[in-house]
Amino acid sequence: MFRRIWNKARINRKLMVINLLTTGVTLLLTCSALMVAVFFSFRESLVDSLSAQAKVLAGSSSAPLLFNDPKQAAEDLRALKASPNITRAIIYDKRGGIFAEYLRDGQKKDLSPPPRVREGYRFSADYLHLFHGITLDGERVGTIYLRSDLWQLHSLMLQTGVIAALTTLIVFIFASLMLTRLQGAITGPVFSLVHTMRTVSSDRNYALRAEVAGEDEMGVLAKVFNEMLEQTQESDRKLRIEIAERKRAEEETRRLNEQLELKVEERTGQLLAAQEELVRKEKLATLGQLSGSVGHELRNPLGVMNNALYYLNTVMTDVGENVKEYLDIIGHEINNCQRIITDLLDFARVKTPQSRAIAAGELVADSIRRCAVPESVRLRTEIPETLPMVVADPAQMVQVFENLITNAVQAMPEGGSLRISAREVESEKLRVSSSNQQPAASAQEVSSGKLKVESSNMELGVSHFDAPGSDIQSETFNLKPDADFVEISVEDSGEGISPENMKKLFQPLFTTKARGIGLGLTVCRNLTEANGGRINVESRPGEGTIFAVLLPAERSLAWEKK
Amino acid sequence: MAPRRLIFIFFLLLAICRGETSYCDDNRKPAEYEVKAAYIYNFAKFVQWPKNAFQDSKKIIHVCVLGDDPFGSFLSGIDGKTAADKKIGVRGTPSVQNCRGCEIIFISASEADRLPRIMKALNGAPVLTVGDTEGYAEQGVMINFFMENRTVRFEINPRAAVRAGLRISSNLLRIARIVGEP
Repeated sequence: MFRRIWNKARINRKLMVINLLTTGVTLLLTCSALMVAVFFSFRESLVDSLSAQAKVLAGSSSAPLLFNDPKQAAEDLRALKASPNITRAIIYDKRGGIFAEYLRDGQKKDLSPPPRVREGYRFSADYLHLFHGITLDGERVGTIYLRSDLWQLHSLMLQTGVIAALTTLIVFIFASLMLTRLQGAITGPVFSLVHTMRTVSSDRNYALRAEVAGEDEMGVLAKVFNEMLEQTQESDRKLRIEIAERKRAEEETRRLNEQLELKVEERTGQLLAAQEELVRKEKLATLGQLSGSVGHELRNPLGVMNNALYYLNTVMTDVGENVKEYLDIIGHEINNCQRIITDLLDFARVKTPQSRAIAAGELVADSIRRCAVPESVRLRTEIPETLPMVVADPAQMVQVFENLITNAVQAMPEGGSLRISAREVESEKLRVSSSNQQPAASAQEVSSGKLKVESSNMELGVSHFDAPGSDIQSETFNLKPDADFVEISVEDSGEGISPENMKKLFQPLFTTKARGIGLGLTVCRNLTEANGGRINVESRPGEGTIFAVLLPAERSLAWEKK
Repeated sequence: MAPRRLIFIFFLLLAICRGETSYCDDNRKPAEYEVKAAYIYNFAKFVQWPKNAFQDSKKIIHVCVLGDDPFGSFLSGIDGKTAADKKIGVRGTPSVQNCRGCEIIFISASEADRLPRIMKALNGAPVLTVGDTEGYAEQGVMINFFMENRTVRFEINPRAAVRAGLRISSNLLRIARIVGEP
C-alpha cells in the first residue's frame, strides 16, 4: 500500500517526504536526548536540594535527639512548609523509632511507611525518598527521612515535551516552506526534462531538445538525452525515407500489375473477338454458298414467270383496267424478286471487276438515272470537272451508288435534300489516318457526337465470300498505296443512324427496313473494296448521314485528259 | 558491599551496644540521674571552651561534682567517652579551690547555700557549671536541670556562659529554657 503510493508520488513530494522525515527523526532524537538529559539532571538537582535540606535538618535535629525533645524536632520539621515539594519527613532516633514526624497538609491519608532504606535515596513512581544520617561528633544519633513528590519533575518534563512538540511543529512548517522554495533547483530541471520527454514521445517530434541547466547530473542527463534524440531523429529520418521508397516501389509494382492485367484483358478480348469473328465468318461462308445456290435455282422459274407475263400482256390487250393493274403488280414483284436474287448472288460472289478509267460524274449520272428520286427530295450534284478519272468497274460502281442513293431517298420519306459531291484526296493523308486506327479495335469512333465507320476495318470478313478457298491476304486491302483517291459522297438530310446500328451497319442480313434482306450495304462494301476503294460513314442522328466512297484515281489518265 | 548489608551490620552493632550499656536499654525506664549523666556528656558536644581552657595538651574534659554526688555509679558510665575529640574524665569531689582543673562542674543541691561563694570563686573561669536545683540558673549556673512531665529538661543562662568565655551551640539553646539574671 505504502509502496504503491510512494511509487506513484511525484519527485517533489518524495523529496519533501524524505527531507521532512530526516528533519523529523533528527528533531525527535534531539528532543528525546534533551528530555532524557533534562530528566536526569533535574532528578540529580532534586536529590541535591533534598539532601541539602536533609543536612540542614540533620544539623538542627541532633540536639533534640540527644536531649529527647521531640517537640522541638517536630517544630523544626514544620519549617519544611516552605518547601512545597516535601510531603513527608520523619526523624528517627538511633534505635530506629520514630522521633518526630511531619506530614504536609492534604497528605494526611498518605501514611504508608517509607521504604526500608536507612541511607541514600530512592525514586518510586511518584516520590523521591531520601534518608540522611544525623551524626554528632562522628556518632550516629538518628536518621532523617524526607519524601519529595515529583510534581516539579513531571511538570518540567511536560513543559519540555510541549516545547519540543511546538519546536517540531515550527521546524516542520519552516522546513516545508523552505523545501517548497528550494527544491525547485532540483525538481525544476527534472520536470522540464520529463515534459520534453513526454512531448517527444507523444508527438514523435524528434526535433525537440531538452533544456540543459547547469553542469550537475541533471545537466548531464539532459545533454545525453539530447544526444539520444539526435540519433533517434537521424534514424527516424532514414526510416521515413526508406518507408517512402518502399511505398513508391510498391506503388510501381501495383501499377505494373494493373497494366499487365489490362493487357491480359485486352489480349483476352482480342482473342475472343477473333474467335467470334471466325465463327461468324464460318456461318457467313455457309450462308453465302446457300444463298448463291438458292438464288441461282430461283432465277430460272422467275425468268419463266417473266416470259409468261410478257405473253399475257401482249395477248390480253383489251382486258379491263383491273386485270392490267394486277398484271403490273405481278411484273413489279417479279422485278423485286430478281433484284433480291441479284443481291444474293452479288453477296455470294463478287465478280472480278473489269476496271477502266471513268469520270466520277459519269458514274454518278448513270446511277441517278437508274433510281427513282421522288419530287419531295431536292437533288444536288457537285462534281468538279477538274477531278481525275477513277479506275473502277463501272457496272459494279453504278450498282453501289444506286444502292446508296436508294437508301438515302428511303431515309427521307418526308422529303429533304440529297447532295452528291466528289473531291480529290491525297493518298498521304489517307495513309496517316488509316495507320492511326487500330485495325482490330471497335469500328466506332466517337468524337463530338460524330460517328464514323470505316469499312476497311471490316474487310476481313467480307473479302472471302466470293472466293472462300482463295488467299485472304491477296484481297484484303486493295488501296493502292501511292495512288491518290477520289471521294464521292452521298449526303442526305434524313434521320441519321443510331450508334448501335452504326456498329452493325455493314453486317450481312442487318436491316432496319420492313422489306429487304439486309445485304445491300454489305454488297456495296464488297464491291467497292473489290475495286480498290472503301466506304466511310459519318452520321449525326436527326441531321443526316454521309456515305463517302473512295476510289483510286488514275493519275496518268487525268494528266492525259488535262 | 551492598548498602543494605552495611545497614544490617549497623543495626547488629546497635543491638550489641544495647545489651552492654544500661542506658541504651529500651526495656527499662532510665533513672533520672542516668539521664542527667548522659546529658552532661552530651553538653560537652555542644559547648566550646576557649583554647586556653585546657591546661595540658591531653585535651581531657574533666567532669567534677561539687558537693554530694547524686549520680551514684551513673557518672562513671560516661568516663572515658569522647566528645568533640576530647576524652571525658570523671573526677572525685574536689573543693571549690580545686575546681580550676575541671571543665564541667556539677554543683549538687547540697551546695545551694554556698553557691554565691562558689560563683565568686569561679569568677568567669572557663568552666561549664551545671546544676539541678531550682534557682541555680538565675544565680549564675549556666545549665540547670529541671523536671517537666516526668522528663528531664534544662534551662540555660547564656550570659553566664558568655562571661565565662564559653560558647554554647544554638542547637542546644533552642531546646533549652533560657533564663536571665535578675
